[in-house]
Amino acid sequence: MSVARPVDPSVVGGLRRARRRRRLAAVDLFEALYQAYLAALAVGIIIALGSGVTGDARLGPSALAQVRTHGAAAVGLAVAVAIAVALRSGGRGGPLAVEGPDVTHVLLAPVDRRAALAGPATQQLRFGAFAGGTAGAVVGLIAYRRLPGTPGAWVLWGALVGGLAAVAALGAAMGASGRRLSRLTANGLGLVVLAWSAADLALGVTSSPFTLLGNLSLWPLGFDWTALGGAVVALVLAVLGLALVGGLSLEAAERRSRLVGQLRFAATVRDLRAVMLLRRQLAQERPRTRPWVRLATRPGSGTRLAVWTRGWRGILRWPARRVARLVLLGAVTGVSLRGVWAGTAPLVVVAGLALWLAALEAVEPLAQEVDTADRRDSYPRAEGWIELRHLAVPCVVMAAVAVVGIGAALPLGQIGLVLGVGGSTLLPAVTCAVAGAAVSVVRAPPLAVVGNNLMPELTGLRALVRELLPPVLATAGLLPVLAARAVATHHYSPTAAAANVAVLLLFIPVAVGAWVHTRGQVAAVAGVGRGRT
Amino acid sequence: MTRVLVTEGLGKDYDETVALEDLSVRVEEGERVIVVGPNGSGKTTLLRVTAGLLEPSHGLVEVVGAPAGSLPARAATSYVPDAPVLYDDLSVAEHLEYVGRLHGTDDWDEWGQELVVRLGLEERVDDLPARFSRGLRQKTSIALGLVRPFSLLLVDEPFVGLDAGGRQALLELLDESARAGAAVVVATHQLEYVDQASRCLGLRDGRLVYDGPATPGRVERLVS
Repeated sequence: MSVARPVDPSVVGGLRRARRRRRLAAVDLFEALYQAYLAALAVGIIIALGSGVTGDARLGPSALAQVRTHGAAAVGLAVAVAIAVALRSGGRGGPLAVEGPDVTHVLLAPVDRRAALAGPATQQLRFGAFAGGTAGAVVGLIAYRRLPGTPGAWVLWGALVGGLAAVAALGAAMGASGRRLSRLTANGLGLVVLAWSAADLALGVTSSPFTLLGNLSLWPLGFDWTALGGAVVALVLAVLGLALVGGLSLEAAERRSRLVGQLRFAATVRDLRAVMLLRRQLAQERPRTRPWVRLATRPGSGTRLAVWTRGWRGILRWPARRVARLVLLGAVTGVSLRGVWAGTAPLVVVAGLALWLAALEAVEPLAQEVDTADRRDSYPRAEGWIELRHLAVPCVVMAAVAVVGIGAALPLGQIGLVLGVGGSTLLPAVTCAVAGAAVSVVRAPPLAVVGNNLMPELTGLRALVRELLPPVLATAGLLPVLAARAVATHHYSPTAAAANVAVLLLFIPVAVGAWVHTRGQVAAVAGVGRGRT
Repeated sequence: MTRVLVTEGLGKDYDETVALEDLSVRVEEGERVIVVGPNGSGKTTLLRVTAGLLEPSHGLVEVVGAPAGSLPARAATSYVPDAPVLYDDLSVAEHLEYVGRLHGTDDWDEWGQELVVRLGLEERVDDLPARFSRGLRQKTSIALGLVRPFSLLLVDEPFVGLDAGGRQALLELLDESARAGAAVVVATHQLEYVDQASRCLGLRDGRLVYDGPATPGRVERLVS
C-alpha cells in the first residue's frame, strides 16, 4: 500500500503565490486603471447622492442630543444586521468561495485545511476591511455635513468602524461555517445579536459590543475609552474566524464554488433571472415538496384557467422563507412610504425597489414559462396569450404584499389617512410592480440583444435605460403618495389626489400587458425570431 | 489482507431524498471493485462520501482506519470525479506538478511524464485543459488521480468520453494500481471494467442489492 506524505502547508502557499504572480502578469495595466477610475467615479456619485438625501443643514440641539443618546446603538444595530446576515451565510458554508479545483485537489490533499484556507480567508478579510472601510469613510463624510466635528475625524472613525464591522461579520461567518453550525443555530445566533442591539437602541443603553463599536464611530462627538471594547470584540471575531475556518464543510465549499462562479458571471452580464436562480440555489431555497394547499381541478376543465391554476400551484410551493421575504419587503415599502410622507421624498425609490423585488418573486410562474421557452412554444397558443395570463396571479400576490405595507404604515400615521392614500395607491402600485417585474423577466438577457441596429453611440444609453426601466416602472406606481403629500399642505383631499393620479398611472400596466401579449407576433413579423426578445 | 475501506450502516440524505441507506461494505487492499446501478442509485454519492467530499448522514466510513476526509484518509484516497475538475490557468504539466507536490511525492515529474504518454496526452502537456475536449479533460483528470500515491482509488464513470486507446490505457493503469496493492473502486454504467473486476457492488435506490463476483450477465442486469 502506498500513502501520500502529509505536506507542509507552505507548499500550498508557494504554489498559490506562483499562480497569483502569473495572473498578475497577465493583467492589463490600462484596463486596471480604467476599473479604478470607474470605482472612484461610482464612490463620488454615491457621496453626492448621499449628501443630497441627508441635506446640508446642521442638526439642532435636540436632534444632536438624539444622536448622542441613540446614535451609537443605531450604528450598532446596523453592525448587528451585518453580523446576522454573515452568520446566516456561515450556516450555509459561506463566506469563503474557494475555486472548484482547490476543493478537489487542495482540500482533499493531506494538507492542514486551516493552513490551506488561511490565504483565501485572510484575503477575504483584507478585502472586507477595505470595502467596509471605504463605505464607513463615505458615511463619515456624509455625517460630517450635518454633525459637529472635523471632516478628517469623521472619515477616519467611519472608515475604522466600517472596516472593523466588515472583518467582524466575515469572522463570524467563517467561525459559523468552520464550526458547521446548522442553519437554525446560525440564524438563531443572528437573531440574538439583532435583538440585543435592538434592545440597546430601544432602551438607550450600551450593553452590546456592537453598540460599543457604534460609540467608536461617534468619537468626533465625544471621547469614550470603553468604545475600544467594541473594536477588540470585532478583532477577536476575525481571529476566531481565521482559527476555525479549517473546519469548513467540503460539501458546502464545493456547492458554493460552483454557484458563486456562475453567480459572478451572471451578475457581470446583468442576467437578473440567472442571478435570482443562482442566489436561491446558494441559499438552498427550494420549492416545497408538499404544497401549502393542494389545488384540485375538475377533469374536462380544458384550457380555461389552466395558466391561473399553474400559477397558484407554483406559488403554493413557495418555501416559508420566501413568504417571509415578501412580508418583509411589504413592510419596507410601507415604512419607506411613511418616510416619504414625513418629508424624505427619495425614500420613494426604496419603496419602489422593494416592490419590484417582491414582484420579481411573484412573477415566478411566468419566469418558469420563459425559462422553458421550448415547452411554451410547443403549446397550441401564442406565447403572448400564455404570458399575459401569467400576470394575474402575481397581481393577487402583490396585492397581499401591498396590504402588508399598508399594515406596516398604520401604526406610524393617522389610520384614516393611511387607509385612504394607501387604498388609492394599491392598484397602481401592484400593477406597476408586476409590470416592471414582467419586463425584467420576459425580455432577453443583455448578451442576447447585442448586435442590434442601434447607433453605437447610443449603446450605453440604451443599456442604462434597459437596466433602470423595470424599477422605474415599479416606482412610478407609488407616485400617488407623492401627489397626496403635495396637496395635503394645501388643504385638499390627499385621498382624492392619490386616486386621480392612480387612474392616470394605469396606462403603464396596460401598455406592458399589450407588449407582453403582442411582442411575439411583432417579432415574428419583423423576422427577429421568438423567445426572449 | 488489510482493510482499506470500511463502511458501517452508511446513509446519506439530501433533505427528503435518501441517496444511500444502511450500506455496510468492506474492501481489502488489492481488490478490484465495480459499483453498478441505474441512475440515481447512489454510486456517485458512495464515492464522494468515501472521498470526504460529502458528509454521511448516518453510519461511518473509514479509509485505512481513519474517518473519511481526515488527514490520514485523504493521504490514502485518490478520487477521480465523473466531471473533470481542473484549473483554468494551469497546463497539464503544471496540474501534475501541483497535485504531485501537494501529496508530497518526489517522482511526480517522471511518473507524470509516463502517465501523459500512456494516456496519449504528450502532445498537449503544455496546453491549458480548459480548452480541451471532454475526452482530453477526462484523461487529464485520470492522470491527476494516478500521479500521487494512494491506497484507495475511487474512480467515477472514468470511461465516458474516452477513445479506444484511452480506455485501454486506463484499464491497464487500474490493473497496475491493484497489483501494486491499492483497492480500486470503479463506479460505472459501462461494462469495460467487468472483466478486470473481482467483485461487484450493486446499488438500487441507495441500498446495496448485490455484493459478489462480477460477471457480465449479473452486472448487465444490475445496470438496467
